[in-house]
Amino acid sequence: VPFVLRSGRRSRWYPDAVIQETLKDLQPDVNNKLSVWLIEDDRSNLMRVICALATWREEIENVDYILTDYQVIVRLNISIEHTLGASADDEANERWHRNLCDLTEQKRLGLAQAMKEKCESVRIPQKDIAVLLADGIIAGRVNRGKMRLKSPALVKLDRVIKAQQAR
Amino acid sequence: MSVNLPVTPAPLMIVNLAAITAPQNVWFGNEWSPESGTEFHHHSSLPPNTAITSITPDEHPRSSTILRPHSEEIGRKLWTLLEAAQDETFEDGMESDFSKGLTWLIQEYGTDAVEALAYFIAYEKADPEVSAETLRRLGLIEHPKTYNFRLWLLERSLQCSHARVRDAAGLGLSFLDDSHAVPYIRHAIEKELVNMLREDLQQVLDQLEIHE
Repeated sequence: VPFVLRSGRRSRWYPDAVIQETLKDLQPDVNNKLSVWLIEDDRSNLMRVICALATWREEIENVDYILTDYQVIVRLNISIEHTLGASADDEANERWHRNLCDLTEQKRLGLAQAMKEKCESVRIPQKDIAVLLADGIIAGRVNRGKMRLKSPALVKLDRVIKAQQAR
Repeated sequence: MSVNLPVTPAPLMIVNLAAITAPQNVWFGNEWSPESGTEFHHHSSLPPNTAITSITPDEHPRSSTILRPHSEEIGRKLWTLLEAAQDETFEDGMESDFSKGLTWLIQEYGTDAVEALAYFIAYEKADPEVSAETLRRLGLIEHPKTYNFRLWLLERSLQCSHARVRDAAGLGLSFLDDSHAVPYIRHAIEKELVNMLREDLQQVLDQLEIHE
């Protein structure tokens, strides 16, 4: 069974976090769509998707994500559409990006509760993210020109790229 | 999102709140340590009714302390910033109006701005979400003059009562990547009751211990 990944803040998924806090990570866009990523059941694309997520950020920071069974979405009768992601990894955008559509308040609440009951909440530290980004650029998976990083973060990333290339 | 801040003008508010909530003759706990576990130290030589104090600019807050009133201008600007931040939803890795304003304040006013922030965070006067965002940013801002004060505030904030604020303090420290924080993080892990947060702090500790 595949998984659905949503980036968010791990602290919003603490067991004692109030549901309003958790819902902040499930805030749809102006078109009432929630951007998620499909993770293969063997998780072979997990780190690549995390790298893709990091490419559309302005800073190199930790990436927190929530992973839940695809079946949770199906059970809640939430529509899923296959749409192009906006990251700097074109292949990841095309293959694994999805939108959850037509989310009513009730569906969002149901989703938050279901995910909170059964999900994996993981943090990838900032340093690992920097290495993932550097490796993605070196391997040609990540289009540096499409990244949204601010210049100080780009300078840091260049240092990591050099270190990775020297290995 | 609610912020537990009173609606009085900023400079007045800072002084008044301090007088109410902080013990008199108190200065920020620059002698706080994991060993002592004490947040604030009484200092009998300070004049009475002095609630807000300052830590020497550009010096490490643990090394020396002086008394200095907050600037009205900084207080007012910080107040406006914190109030406006109530309506923002923060997203990891993305700048926000709040983060831009915070960065500007620190670049403009240096340690005076961090000192004013320290008051709101250490005394838990600001909304926890806003405090958490502040702490994350304090770890990311490039501003050498305030480095030691920011490091101190992040270490100190590991003791805050809100889990998400402690988490943000840990993140801020991981961004600074300074092994000075190791004993503070060790102590926070020992005391931490939230399992997920304890794991995250352990992750930060593992990162920082590499430098030791």
